[in-house]
Amino acid sequence: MWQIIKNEWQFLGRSRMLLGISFAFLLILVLAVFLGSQQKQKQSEAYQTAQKHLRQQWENIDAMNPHSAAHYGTYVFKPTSLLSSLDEGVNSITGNVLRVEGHVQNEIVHSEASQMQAISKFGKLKSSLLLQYIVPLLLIFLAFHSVSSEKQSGRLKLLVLQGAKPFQLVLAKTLSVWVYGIALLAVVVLVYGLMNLQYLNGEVLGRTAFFFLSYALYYFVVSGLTVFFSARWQNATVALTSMLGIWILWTVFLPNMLMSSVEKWHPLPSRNEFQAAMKEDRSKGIDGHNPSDERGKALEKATLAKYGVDSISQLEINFDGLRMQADEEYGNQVWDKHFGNLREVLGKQKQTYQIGGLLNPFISLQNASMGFTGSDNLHHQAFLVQVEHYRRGFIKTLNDEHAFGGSKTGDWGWKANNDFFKSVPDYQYQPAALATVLPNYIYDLGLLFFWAIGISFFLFFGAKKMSIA
Amino acid sequence: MKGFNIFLYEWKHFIRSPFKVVALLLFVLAGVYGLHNGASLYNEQMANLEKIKERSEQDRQQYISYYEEGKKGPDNRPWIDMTTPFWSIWYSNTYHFKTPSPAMVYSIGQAEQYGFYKRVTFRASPYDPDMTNEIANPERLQTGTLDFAFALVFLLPLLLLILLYNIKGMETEQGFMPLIEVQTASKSNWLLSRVTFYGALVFGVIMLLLAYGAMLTGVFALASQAFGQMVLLALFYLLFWLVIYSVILVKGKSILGNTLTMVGVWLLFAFIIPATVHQWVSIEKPTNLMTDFIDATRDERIELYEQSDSVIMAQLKAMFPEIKNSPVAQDSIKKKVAMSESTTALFNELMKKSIAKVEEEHQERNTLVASTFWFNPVSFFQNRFNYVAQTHFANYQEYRAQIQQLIDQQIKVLVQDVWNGVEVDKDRYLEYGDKIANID
Amino acid sequence: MENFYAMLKATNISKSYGNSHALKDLNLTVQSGEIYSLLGANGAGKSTTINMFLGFTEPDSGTVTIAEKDATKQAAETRKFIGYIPENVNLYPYLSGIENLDYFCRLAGLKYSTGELQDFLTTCGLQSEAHKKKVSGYSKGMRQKVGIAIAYAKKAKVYLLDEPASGLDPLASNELSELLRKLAKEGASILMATHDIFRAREVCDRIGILKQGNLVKELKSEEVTANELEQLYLEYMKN
Repeated sequence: MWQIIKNEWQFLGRSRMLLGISFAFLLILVLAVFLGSQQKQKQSEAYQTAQKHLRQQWENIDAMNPHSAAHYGTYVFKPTSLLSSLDEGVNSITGNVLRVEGHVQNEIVHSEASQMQAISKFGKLKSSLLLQYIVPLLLIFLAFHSVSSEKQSGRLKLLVLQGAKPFQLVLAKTLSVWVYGIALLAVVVLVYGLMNLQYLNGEVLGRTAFFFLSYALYYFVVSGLTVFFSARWQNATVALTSMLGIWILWTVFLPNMLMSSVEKWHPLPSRNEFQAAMKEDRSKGIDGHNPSDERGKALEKATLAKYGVDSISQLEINFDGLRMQADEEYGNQVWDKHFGNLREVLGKQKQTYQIGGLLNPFISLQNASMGFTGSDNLHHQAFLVQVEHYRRGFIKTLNDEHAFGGSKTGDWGWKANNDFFKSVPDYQYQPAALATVLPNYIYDLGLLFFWAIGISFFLFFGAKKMSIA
Repeated sequence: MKGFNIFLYEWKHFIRSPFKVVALLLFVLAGVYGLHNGASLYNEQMANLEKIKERSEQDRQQYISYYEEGKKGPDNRPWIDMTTPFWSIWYSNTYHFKTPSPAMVYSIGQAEQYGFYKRVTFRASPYDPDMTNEIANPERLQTGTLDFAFALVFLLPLLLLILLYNIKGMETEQGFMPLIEVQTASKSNWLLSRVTFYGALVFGVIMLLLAYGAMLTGVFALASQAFGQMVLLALFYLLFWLVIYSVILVKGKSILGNTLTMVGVWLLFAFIIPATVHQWVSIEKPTNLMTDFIDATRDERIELYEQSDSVIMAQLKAMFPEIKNSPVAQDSIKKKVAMSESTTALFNELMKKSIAKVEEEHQERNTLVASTFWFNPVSFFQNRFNYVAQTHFANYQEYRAQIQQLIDQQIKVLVQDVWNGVEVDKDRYLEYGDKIANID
Repeated sequence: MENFYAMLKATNISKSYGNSHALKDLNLTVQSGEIYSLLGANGAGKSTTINMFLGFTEPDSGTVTIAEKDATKQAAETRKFIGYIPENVNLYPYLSGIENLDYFCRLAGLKYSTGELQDFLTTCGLQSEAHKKKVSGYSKGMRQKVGIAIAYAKKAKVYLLDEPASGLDPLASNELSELLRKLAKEGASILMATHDIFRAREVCDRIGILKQGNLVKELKSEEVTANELEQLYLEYMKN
């Protein structure tokens, strides 16, 4: 079998056209990695400048009432993950700026896509675009006449008479084409690694390894299926057109159709409905700004009892701060409930879409690719949750200062000093660890393995039934 | 006549090729599915707007009842006084909608990236967080909805590829091209007639799909011009690909060579060029993180409000010279309240300056994209389809401009009435509805 | 159809492919109503000569005319008068025999009724039950018969045949010979490239022997018996 693979490679190596295409494509691949890194670097710079600017503004607050500071708030900018230069995923669609303030959980806004007219429906020239769409096409072009040409030239008979088993033959043909895909993939990963040498760590390497594995499995599926068709049909053109048809279905047609359907099967509420429901639930809690609010009064009573005093004016602390915090905590519960529901629906959509991988391994590849590069919706949602947790801590710090910082109830003119504001921690993005997110993509990887094994069976049984004449 | 005969006979060639028939059916399926997706979004948005209008009307009736019952506002919010222009205008409940065009059935475009309804107040801005998109799965947005424009822009070239790939190549490979040349005398006419047949067939299918889509949302009745524009655009786009593929067929000699070249050209125009342009634009003009806008809404706003009364008054007078001799300006106590309530006009100017910068940058980014259209035809057509369906960036930009205009109008009425010491009654409240809800 | 004195004429034509001479100063004339056969081994220049009359190959020197029109420069004109039967008639496999015939007739601007099309096919030896079957199920001979019908239905004044009997059974070959004689009687000029000495002797008026691009011998078929022609041919081939 190794001899057949070696022969195939010698044959491919002699094709000037293939060498030319490969060289040109390698250049595009390297360019894509380079441009991806460039964009990532520019984005990171912009992110750091903006974050620094906002932090400076916060730290420059000389003196301000803590609750006014809660309204003044701060902003969090969505950071880009290192691997997003390989696969941008949903990053250009989702917003980049999230206002962190009291009473309100804002939505992330100002996405890249909203700042210009439409350009590319399939995303930017990232490595993922080339690896997902173009490399499989190259593999198809390499493999579609691999067996049929042997049949047409009569070499197949000779090879079989010389003792080669048909399965060995088709497997060798598959592997020789697959190795070509792996070589291109390896170039991408290597160039990417070299360009980001200083940032490489266990986490990045682990994610890259799974990224590599996902593509390697998909390439095996594509190579194997094309060789299978080449063996099945006498006419190479039929093999090519069949595979092109499958490529169109897998990469262009089905993902779009399935994704649109999934959102219909598990509908998300309209923003208007969602906000109305949140507002209604929110109205059942304490209104931090309304002293005559009934629930506020109950809290007041409980606080007076706790501190053993008769009136707010006797309290050593500022009750306004406590009321604001109670308002926040109720708001947090409302947020957890509604956004929890939203995430649940998004989760169901994701799971249903992942099942689509049974019909279409491209879906599994896309999911795994975005997942391992940390640019899918799950990572985006994790970021939003992280910011919300930061917001809660941030507002609580301000409310606590309001309540226990030395002011008395109703003293809205009281101001915390600059030291306090400097002491409020800034938002620090914690990238999700591979170990925690891996279970989300086991299904995708499993399906890719399933397809690879399935294709091996196809090749095995296909080779048995292959006509040698 | 001979050409016409070849044209008609092509139907037999087509119908005997299951691969081609299935491809056409799949295209029709994708087209119908895409049209339903477009219609579904159109209906959803319309239903949403209806609900908002209904709720807004309910709220308005509630506010009107305060006037009728002689109340100043809700009982649990004693600080609200709806007899003042400030609160009355605040609760005028003015919404501005980007009512979807029925032509949205054809192209969802960027409709899902922006809000399409906005409660306009004198403190609002077209870049408020509520102007963000509807709740949607970002992965779906990233994959892109399979709308009719997607079928047209990306699947149509593939359909044509499948319909045309073996013309001439098959005859050449099978060796009966000489026979055809001897029979027909003009090979190019023969080729042209065959290609024209598929062009006409596909155009007919597109027309039917466009008409079907029109029936889903009432395009003929409500946006008939859009239908005509879609037909023309689709025709030009179809011709664009037909010309490219015909050149390949004329020059090519084998099915394989022709197919590979066609796929290559499709990949180049549909994937590589738009993706490269997208990447380049992102590097040249990275995403605006809106820090200038943030500064305007926070620090500059604080600075504005912290100015002395005399400075604020001078700025207000410069903007609204009529307030100088207004009744309230003569009353020092009322004047302070009026100034406080009118400062929003100054803030609005501040915001407008900051927005102008943001929009200038958007414009630069769009000009950059447009400068690539001569070699990036797929993006060009995609954007033209969006424009006809009124789901293009420019349509939302226009919507934001309208919101800003309404804000300006609202502020003008507010300032005038505050400084004229108008006491708002039910009639005046209703008048506000007309004055500030419609663009002058 | 235009009424003219059809005639094939090659005057001093030469053609080379690199260092190899396909034709050298060939002179050839086929009169109206005459059947002319070109005999020769593979690579002798038979197909090149046919291709020049078809207008597919341009001579390096000399002229090729059909009815006094340049076959290369006025190919679109001269092809109108040509009926052509290639060695291997490949047709659209997904169309039936009658549909293929109809299609190729329409390419030539001719529209026949189904009955007429069936008559053409029957005349050319294709059994009526095969008329409506898809060509993908045809044998080589059956396809060849459809090819002959295509040429016949064109009612051409000039017929160019490149090994037309290839794949035909003896009966069908005889029928083809009869058809060619009938066409010649009606005034058609027929140029046929073949290996088949006996068929050439039987059906043609004149025979030319081509060797390495040279027309080494021209004779009337009535001047020799089939055996003599074979002898002559072999002698030329050996020398």
